[in-house]
Amino acid sequence: MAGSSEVDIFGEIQQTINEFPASESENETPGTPRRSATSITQLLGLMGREPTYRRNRKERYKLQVENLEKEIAVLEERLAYRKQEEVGKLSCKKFEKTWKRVKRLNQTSQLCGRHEEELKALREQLHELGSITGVVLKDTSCILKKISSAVVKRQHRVEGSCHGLRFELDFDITESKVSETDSSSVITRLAVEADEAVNSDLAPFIQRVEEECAIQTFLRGYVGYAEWHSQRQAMFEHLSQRHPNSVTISEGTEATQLTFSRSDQPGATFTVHWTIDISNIGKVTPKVQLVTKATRQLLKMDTHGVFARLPKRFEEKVNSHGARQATELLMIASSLNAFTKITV
Amino acid sequence: MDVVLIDDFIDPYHHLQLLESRVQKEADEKANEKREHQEVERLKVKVQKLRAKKAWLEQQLKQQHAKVLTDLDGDDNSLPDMGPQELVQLVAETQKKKFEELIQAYRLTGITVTTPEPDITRVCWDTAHKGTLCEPYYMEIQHKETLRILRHSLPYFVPLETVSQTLLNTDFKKFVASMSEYLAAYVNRRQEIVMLQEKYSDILIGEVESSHAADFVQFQLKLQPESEQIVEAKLTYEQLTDILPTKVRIKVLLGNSANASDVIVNTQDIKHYKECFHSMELTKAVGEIID
Repeated sequence: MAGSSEVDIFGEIQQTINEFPASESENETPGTPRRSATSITQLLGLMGREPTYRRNRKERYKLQVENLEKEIAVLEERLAYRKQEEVGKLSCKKFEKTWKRVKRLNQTSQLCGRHEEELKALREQLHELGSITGVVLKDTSCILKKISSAVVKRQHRVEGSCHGLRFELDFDITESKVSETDSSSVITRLAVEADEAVNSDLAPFIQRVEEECAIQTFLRGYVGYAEWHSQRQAMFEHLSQRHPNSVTISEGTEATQLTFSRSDQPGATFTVHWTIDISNIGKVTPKVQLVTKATRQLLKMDTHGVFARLPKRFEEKVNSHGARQATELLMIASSLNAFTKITV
Repeated sequence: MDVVLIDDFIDPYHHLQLLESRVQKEADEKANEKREHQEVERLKVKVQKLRAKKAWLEQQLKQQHAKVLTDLDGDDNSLPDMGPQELVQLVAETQKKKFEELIQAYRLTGITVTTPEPDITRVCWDTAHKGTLCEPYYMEIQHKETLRILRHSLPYFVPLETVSQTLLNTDFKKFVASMSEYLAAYVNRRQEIVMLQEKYSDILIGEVESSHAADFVQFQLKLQPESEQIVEAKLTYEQLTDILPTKVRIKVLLGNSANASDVIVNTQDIKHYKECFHSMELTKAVGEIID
């Protein structure tokens, strides 16, 4: 419609130009402003068509604005996707080294101040998250694979540690757009690598969480396990350092049992077994038990059945005071009077 | 006869009014024209700006940022050939994005904490059932002299008041972990019921009934289509943090037209069913029973 009215307009302009008086003085009256065909707008004004022409121009501009805004939205989405893809592939740890390198250079060190403030705030936020969750995430990378406009697949790798036990997760997330505002995310593959010190203990649990792609179950269970593991390790280290000649820990510091005996009663040994069970659903249960060994002679002397009752009493003390205090109390009690030097 | 001029018969005041309205009309038309003209000019400028923005975006897409970033990520000490300001901007922005990715990754743990305002902490608990991410729950906590819960979206049956009185101002980490435990257990129980209904709809009789907190579940199964025998199970989860039931009651019901010879479930089977429900999640337990 606009097209046909434009044709009419230009036809009429031509006609008007042809009808314009050859000499301007012919029709001029005093006081009347000079009329000349110098612009289409003026001509259209003469014909009463100017408002229509301006309205059409306005519509054309509006249409252009609309089209450009749509194209820009598509380009911005593509650019954001590309940047996300590029940044996602990078290693966080390696890039931090790069930032430190840039800060040290003469020509760039002055420019880093403002950015360093922002990075410091982000590091603090990460530190807070680590202390609240018990999980310290150290590195993450992601490869984006857009399958369609409604489905996006991401391959993630996350590295971290819980109470000193490291882990690595390699998994795929598929995100599907359900509606304009709603989307669903499903983890479709999961590979877990736990710290080599505990990998064999956690093998059945890890196998189960990998089958079910249950990352939250893994992390919840691993945090609980790592917490008890670090408590056990701390207790064994403390006691072995305090009594280096009398305390033996099995299999180094990743041990599950601690043995001690009295120098004046070599026939009796006490072994504290501390295992940490983790169920398929991630429930962590520490089990601290005492096993006593005594010579026949010693047992004959034990008319009150102390040795027989010790494991149960020890278990009660663990429940009320914790494993460390229960073990230390046992060590003190087993030395009779003062706590003298205990030798193996 | 003289030509009678119309003007002689028009009241001068009326004439003045006509003139005034004509002037007003012309002024209005001029004002409209001016507005239209300004609007067109504005649109023209907007089109120019949008074209420039589009050109810039197209140029950005063509740039080989990926190679530069990969070079920066490498182990060697060389830096790309670019101005110091550009280099600092690129590296700093990329580092920030990586940190933000790490912060986002904390959602995998099920717990994220942000500070939208200086004295407000927002905790978000993301829930999941195996590989499927479910709904998040939120809480806003104000911290002035003590911590105070401002608002939250937790289900009503989570014992928030009891737990917060004990832990909120004494051990915030434990408080957050405790809420996470309640929510994770609830979502797990609920989703197991949903999965049971979806996977075993052919052997379920009627709907699976459950409480809002999914801490009581009751359903009936027909283990064999040709048999009239129905197994009714009632599972109770005593603690809201339990994922496995603490009480399991199994009843075998015979249909109206059933005979004694239709009995396929014996005491030994019932014992086995109970063990399955006690030791496995709901859907897995039913799968084990029908195998």
